[in-house]
Amino acid sequence: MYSDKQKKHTIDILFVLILFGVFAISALMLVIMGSTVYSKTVDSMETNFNDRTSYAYITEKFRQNDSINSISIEQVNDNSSFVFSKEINNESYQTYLYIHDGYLKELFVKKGETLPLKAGNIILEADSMEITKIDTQTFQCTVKKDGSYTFFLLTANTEQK
Amino acid sequence: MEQKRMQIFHPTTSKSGIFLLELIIVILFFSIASTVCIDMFVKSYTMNTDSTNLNKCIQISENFAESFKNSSYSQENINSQTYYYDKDGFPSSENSYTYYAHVSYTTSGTTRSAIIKLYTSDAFIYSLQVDKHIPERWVKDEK
Repeated sequence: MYSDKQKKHTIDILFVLILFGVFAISALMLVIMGSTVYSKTVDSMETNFNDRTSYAYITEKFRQNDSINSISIEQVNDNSSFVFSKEINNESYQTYLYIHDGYLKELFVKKGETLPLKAGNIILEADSMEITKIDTQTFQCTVKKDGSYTFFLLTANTEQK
Repeated sequence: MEQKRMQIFHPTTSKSGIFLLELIIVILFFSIASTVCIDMFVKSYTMNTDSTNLNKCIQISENFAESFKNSSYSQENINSQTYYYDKDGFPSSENSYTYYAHVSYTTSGTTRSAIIKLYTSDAFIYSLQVDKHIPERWVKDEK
């Protein structure tokens, strides 16, 4: 006569365990793959955003201040910075675009005053900025952030000293 | 006796069948879900790469447009030219480029145009046309 309980083989349990293992590993790999793709996408989006924003912002400021001898380069905090000069009510004012504390900042001050670097408005994150004057109208600007470079040329319509 | 044995044996066989069927359904569902996920990952990666390429190519072409607008007539080369750039948009050699730009020039009346076409090693990415005014006497001199 057969007993109520059928004889269990080791393979029965082993098969289920192996299947569970394969299932778990596959699910884990899928999650790891997803998180890798997601983090790469986010990194890349951030890099693209920084690229576009730094380029658009600096270009816009450059064009706004495109008048004779109003654009110059100064060293601020071991980095190059753009200085845009403007006359308001016979007083000279300057707008600085500079790097401080890991950020690209903007500061509007009266000419000749000490630059309170911390007081600048934060534009976006950036590690360094290098500006070179190629000729009287063209500037080459390189903004670096986390090993990624944004390199662009700016051409003024007017001559700059 | 035999009948009783069959009654006992039959339900157990049926249980295994259901378990196997359940496993097959679960694996099938998992396979479908994985396929959809992997497809989405690949699409997201491709879109990400395309977006990065487009971003860089726009920057490169705008840099070129800036220097074109500023160049004097005598400095310009009116023949088509190819320029090579690395992944960050810096000029590079022909052997180690990520992007290349093919630039062609046309003149119509007093308007000079540069058509900048940007490519990666295997695909066209972006095109930009820049126009600038040139004095009439320069056009006459050229003729």
